[in-house]
Amino acid sequence: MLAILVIAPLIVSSILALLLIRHGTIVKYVSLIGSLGSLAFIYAVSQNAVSAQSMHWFSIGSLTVNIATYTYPLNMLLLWLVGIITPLIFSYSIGFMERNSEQGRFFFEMGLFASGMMLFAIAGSLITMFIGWELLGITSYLLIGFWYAKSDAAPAARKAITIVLFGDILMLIAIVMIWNSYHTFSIGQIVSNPSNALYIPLLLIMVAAFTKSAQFPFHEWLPAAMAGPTPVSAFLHSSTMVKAGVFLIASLFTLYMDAHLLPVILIVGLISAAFGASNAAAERHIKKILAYSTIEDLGLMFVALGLGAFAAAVLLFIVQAFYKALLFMDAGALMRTNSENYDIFRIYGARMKKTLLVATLFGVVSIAGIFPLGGFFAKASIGSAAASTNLIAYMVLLAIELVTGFYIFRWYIIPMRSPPQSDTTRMRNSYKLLPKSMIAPSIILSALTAASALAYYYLPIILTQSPYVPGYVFGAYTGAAPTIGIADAAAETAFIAIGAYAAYLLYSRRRAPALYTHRLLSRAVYNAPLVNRAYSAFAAAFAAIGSGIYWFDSVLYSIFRAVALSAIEMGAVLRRMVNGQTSTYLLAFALGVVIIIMLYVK
Amino acid sequence: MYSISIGYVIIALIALIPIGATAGLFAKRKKAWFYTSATLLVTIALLSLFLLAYQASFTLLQIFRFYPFSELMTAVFAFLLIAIDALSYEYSADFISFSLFFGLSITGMLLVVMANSLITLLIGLELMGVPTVFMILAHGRRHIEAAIKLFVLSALAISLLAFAIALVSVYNPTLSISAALEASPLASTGVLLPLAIVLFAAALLTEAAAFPFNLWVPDVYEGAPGHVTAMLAGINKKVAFVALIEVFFSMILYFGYAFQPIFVLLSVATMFFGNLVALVQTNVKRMMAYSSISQAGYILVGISASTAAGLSSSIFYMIAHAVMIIGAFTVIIWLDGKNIRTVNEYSGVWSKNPLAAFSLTVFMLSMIGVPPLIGFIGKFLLFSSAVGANLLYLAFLGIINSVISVYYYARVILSMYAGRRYERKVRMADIVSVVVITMLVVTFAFGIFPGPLMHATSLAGNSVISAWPAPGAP
Repeated sequence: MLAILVIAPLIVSSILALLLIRHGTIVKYVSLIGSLGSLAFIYAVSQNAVSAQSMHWFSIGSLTVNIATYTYPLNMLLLWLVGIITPLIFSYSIGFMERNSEQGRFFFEMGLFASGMMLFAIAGSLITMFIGWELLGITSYLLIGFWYAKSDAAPAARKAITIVLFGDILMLIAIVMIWNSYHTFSIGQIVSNPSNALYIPLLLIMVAAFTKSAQFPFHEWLPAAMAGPTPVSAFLHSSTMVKAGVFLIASLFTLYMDAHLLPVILIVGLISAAFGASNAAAERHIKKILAYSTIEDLGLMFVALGLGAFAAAVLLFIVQAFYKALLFMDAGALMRTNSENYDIFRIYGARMKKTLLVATLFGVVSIAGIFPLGGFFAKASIGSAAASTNLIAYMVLLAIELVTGFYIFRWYIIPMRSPPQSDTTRMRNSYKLLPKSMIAPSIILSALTAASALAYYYLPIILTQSPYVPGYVFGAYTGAAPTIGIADAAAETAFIAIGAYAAYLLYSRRRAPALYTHRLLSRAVYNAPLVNRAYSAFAAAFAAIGSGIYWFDSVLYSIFRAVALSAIEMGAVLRRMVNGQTSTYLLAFALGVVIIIMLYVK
Repeated sequence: MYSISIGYVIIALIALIPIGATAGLFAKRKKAWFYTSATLLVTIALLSLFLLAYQASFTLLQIFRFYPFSELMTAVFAFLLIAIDALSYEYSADFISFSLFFGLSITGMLLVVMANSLITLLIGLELMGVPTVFMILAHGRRHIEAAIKLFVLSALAISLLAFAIALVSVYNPTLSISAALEASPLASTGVLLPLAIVLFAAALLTEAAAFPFNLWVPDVYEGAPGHVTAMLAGINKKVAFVALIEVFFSMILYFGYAFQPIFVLLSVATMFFGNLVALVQTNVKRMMAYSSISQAGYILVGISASTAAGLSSSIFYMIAHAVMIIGAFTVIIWLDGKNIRTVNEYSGVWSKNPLAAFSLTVFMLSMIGVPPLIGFIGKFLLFSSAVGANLLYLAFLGIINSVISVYYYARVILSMYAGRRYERKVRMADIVSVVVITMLVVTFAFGIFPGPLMHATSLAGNSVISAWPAPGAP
């Protein structure tokens, strides 16, 4: 079974979406079927565990470019995640995107986005991977700016593409450097032959991964990206795009271990996680809170990788996909019922839809890291790994856990308040009007969130026999199974409980908005404006350099302009040779022959 | 041997085309003849491809030569001629009598491609050229000027060719192209051989439109009816190049005379002349005439390189350019019929017919050499072969010319999308849009997957060059 076929149904449905752009009602079902088709193909592909395939694309000289795929347990995991979440998101989108006129464009871009991630997941060569990577970048730009008429959408999309493209360029440089020293694009061959020549490419790839996965100092594009439609956010944060960076580092984990770059990853991960958690605690935008919490989660994954706890990172990788998609779906539903208000203090009545409330609770419990859902196992195993190797990191992690418990319950509790008396009937009505296609995926996802705890037990069985998993390369395997110490788990749970209780105390009564105005607290933790100001400063610096170059350029331009004008002038002169007189042509002919004879016949 | 009998079948089918056209004169069945001729051409093309697949190599009756080069070019020309046939069916005032001349011309073209004797070559070129004059004339008096100019210049070229053949017969008494290899090489001390070489070059480059033998081109291309122009630019010119390659690389190279400098000079002059004059044109058809002159210069780059890679890339680019220019002219003559001729009049074509605007954009981008289109691959191969043959400056000049050409192509492209908006869309005739879409598909297909065509052209290029005596050849 050709692995590349997994993207075929999605690509076909995207093209159909483009062709049927005026028939929104058909497009949405076509796309849903396409995503289910991809899922079926993923099932078929996962039947053979490890397989490398490659199709010749073209070759220029010694440079042969193949569309190569390589499937092994780790990327099959990612592929399954994308494959399962895509139909759920598509189903949610069917309810979410009301206006038929937008369906064609939306599903076209979503389909390409999903297939970009799948291509990235199964890529066996750097070129194939880069195609998927770029496809993600471009389509995320289109999707974030989907509502281009909104004032914040276009700048947010521009911010995202600027930062992501910065990473793309580093990635391209790294690919060229690797080609220079290895003369192959095959990832498998590169991973199994580590050498010193890889050091700088690895650094570049790491920075590229940080840009894609929104790590400090590149993280601010992710909250800004909330300007896009909610299904896009749910998709972007759960299984696609931001996961690409983490996956890249995870799949090259052994190389980073060899190159002693893990401490850098650890530090960046810790800073990002701390930034994410603190900003989430102070933010009021219902989706941006979740965006910051994604930054935190991704940071935790990098922390786990940095600590060498490979399996713990993969565990969080799986678990996070489900609960984050779930939480975003809920956020979208709440915004829908509260006439697109995004401020959590202006969102009311989450109690009015019990199914949604209960489903969301699964996500909340899981992200907080409370037994027995998936989040607990993932976060506790990261904590245990830190406790045994790096005490400072452990302290920071505990603090982050506390804040996590706080902000996620804050996020959950505040919208539960009853609306003002005059609004009750209207609100009740709008909760009743929530389309089923938006509720159903949430329920499925809550079940998956609960089930994802099983990954803790099955991961050691799944992650075997691959050159990408550290144990395989370095003999005795220590990191295959995530481990949890009882004491660590207890400490973690205690800290979460304190955070959650604080949230309950502060926000379960209506005193909350007043409390929020404590400027001291918010100044300290809510540093997003500062980061954004730093971005602006950077942009201004580059603009200054740019205007210098522009001046130089205008000098060059005037030179080139003179050359160009003289070319046109020459054309005007030469044109007179072609004057319509056959005799002139014959003369030129004869002269030409004579001149060539004089030049060459000796 | 099956392949030899297939060779006979191909020749018989070629002969059937003018015979059938003559019969068509009496039957007056326009549609029937169109389908018949298209079927004949498809059959010829498929049989040639079949021979190419087996890399068959043999001579027939001493005057025809089948080897990968001739097989590939026969197939390509046969396919492209179907497009011209379709266009003539749509645009010819009198398709029946037109097809008689057209059929004779086809015979001449394919004769040149398969020629193994200089006499066959001469007859083939004559047979291709003279009916073309009548094809132009068949469309009324206003084309008379173009027809006369074409006639005078091709008459001159043919006479020079005959003279050159006479001169070279001293060295190659059998006048056979491939059999010359079996005779012993003569030291090129005399003045006759160089003179013959220059005359060959001048005669063959007249039809191929290289500076300074090209001044007739803009007048004729502009004055001739569109589908004939498409044929002149797309096929006749390439046939002349095929003749050039046959004469120079199968025969003259063997005499050990370094003719390379002639082509370097002509290539540079042609590229610059075509591009510079195109800059100041406002009539799009005339602009494309100059553009096709400059494209002939690019093809000469590969010929100048005189290596297997250079020859293969020239063949590749010939095919690429034939596809692009036929596609472009198809759109241009369709617009010409709507009285849209100058760059200014092209404004808003997008809103009139999106297919026309899109396809013309693609063809022009491909001529500039933008990936992932066929023109990019062609130029890439050409310039890298020039670098490989230590002609770095030639590659550099070629790239400069590509940059110059962006200016006038971009003017047309921009004009089509900006400016005026038409209220009503106008559809192309089905047969015309089929031609355009086919060329569009080919342009994209071989741009993204150039592998098969590159393989075929390198087979063809090597088959011409492999017959060389190994040492001493430049």
